[in-house]
Amino acid sequence: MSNKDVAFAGEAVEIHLRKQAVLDHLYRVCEAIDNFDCETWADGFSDDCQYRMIPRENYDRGLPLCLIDDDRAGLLQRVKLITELWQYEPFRETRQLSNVVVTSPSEGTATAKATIAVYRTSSEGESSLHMVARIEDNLVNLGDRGWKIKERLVILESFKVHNNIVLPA
Amino acid sequence: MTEGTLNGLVSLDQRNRVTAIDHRVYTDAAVYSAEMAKIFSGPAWIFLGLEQEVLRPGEFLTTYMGEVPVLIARDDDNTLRIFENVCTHRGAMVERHAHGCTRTFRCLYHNWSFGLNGALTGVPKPDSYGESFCKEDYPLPSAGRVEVFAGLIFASRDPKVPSVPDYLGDLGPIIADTMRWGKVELLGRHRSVIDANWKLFFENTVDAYHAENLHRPLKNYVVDNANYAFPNGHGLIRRLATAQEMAKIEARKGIAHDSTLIVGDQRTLGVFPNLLMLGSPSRPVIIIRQLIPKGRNRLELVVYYASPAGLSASEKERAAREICSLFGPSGAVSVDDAEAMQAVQRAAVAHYSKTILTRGLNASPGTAESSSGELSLRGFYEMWATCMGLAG
Repeated sequence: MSNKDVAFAGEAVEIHLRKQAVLDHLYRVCEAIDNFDCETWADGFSDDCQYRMIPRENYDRGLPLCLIDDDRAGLLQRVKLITELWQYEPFRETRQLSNVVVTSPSEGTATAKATIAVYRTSSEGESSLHMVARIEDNLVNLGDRGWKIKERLVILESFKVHNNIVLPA
Repeated sequence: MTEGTLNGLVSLDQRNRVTAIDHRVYTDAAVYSAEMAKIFSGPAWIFLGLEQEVLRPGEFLTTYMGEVPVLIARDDDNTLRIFENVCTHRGAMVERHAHGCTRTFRCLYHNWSFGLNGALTGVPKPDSYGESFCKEDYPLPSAGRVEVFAGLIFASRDPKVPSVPDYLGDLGPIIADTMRWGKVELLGRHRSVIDANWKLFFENTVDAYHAENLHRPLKNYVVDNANYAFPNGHGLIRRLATAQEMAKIEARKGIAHDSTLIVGDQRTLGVFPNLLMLGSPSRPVIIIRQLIPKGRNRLELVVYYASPAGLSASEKERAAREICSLFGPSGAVSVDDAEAMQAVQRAAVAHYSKTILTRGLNASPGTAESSSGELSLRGFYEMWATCMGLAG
């Protein structure tokens, strides 16, 4: 192998590792919210983040109305609603992230597109599909703080929502 | 009506005021069937959508009147018509898009085609029917009269029901004002389905008592309100805050800061049986909720969020962003409403199961004494009992 081949292989490995790190981050964010660990979940987003969840029908029609449209302050308000203020019946959720395609234009940035299915299990142990959505993320690498989601767009395919959405996708 | 119970479902006091409801109204199959016939096909105006979506000839929308699928279309002569969305050949649903623009409604099954006025215009291989077959005999079936009021589309199957303005009475001008007389644009829709009887949603919206109790985010933001019941079952809650109270509230930070619930002259109203609306002349979003019953235990919501015509794109985005933090299936307020309604429906089959409706029983509508009263709920059930033909 020439030096050029080694360099090329090294770069490919580096990109692959970067993509894997992004994927790991996305999985950890899912795991956190599934466990109602809202602090860890919120920490998965950057300080200047924007989280938008929009119904598929509004997205396709170019209409601006979202279900969630939070900056970091809004996200933290939502955490307070989830952990202190809302009076929802106990449940568990199980997120299934799949079909993930990560690109990394630069060392410090990445985009991820994925599918997410969120299953709800009631306090009586009955499971059902609660939401299915497309996720489009822009992430930034903050060095020792790791990857953070800077912009998340969730296009909710299940735009006829069943009862309510307590935990964001 | 005399004191007692209307067939065991509605209790009245000596002054014929509704004081209690038996929860069989939420669980009984016979009650539900009767509602579909006597209310949603009865002497009431059913809300079906925004005029904005069917402004031009050729534009149409599909929705449900009670459980019946309907098609609303604007004809070439600008007439708005409502049809049952059913092919007169073998009964297939004809138009399966939620909205659109077309010249012809075509049934997928045998290609029967209908014009914007419902006329049957196309029948493949008609000769098989013989000479007595007349296309004029098979138009899309009418679903009744349609009227537009302040940009809101209403329909009724009852030929004797008075016009929409007469039906709304004194609530009409308040609705028109809130709706900017129909000069609105659509920011988007929220759709949801809640595991509760449709009436629970109407009750929840016109109930001021729960605001500071169920909705913890609103705890420090609730001001006194004025409750009203109008003839024909409509209800209204209006905020009564003084200027000082408003200033104190607006100075607070928090989830409900900048809330549309507390700023001046907020109206929360219900039009019997299935329209609910929240808005204020001084706020940029009007929330218009269409209730669609889906069996005894389920309701569907189509919620339109409209802004007064003429806002810039960035103003609309901002208005949309602010409103969804409070309202909608993930809104600070609406999440708990869905929980409360489900909780009632789940326990409705208990042997003890009734609603007592005596708050503000002696209060006059619109007064301070009516604050967090149940005038609107009593009015709703008075009209409900009348439509259902329940004898005293």
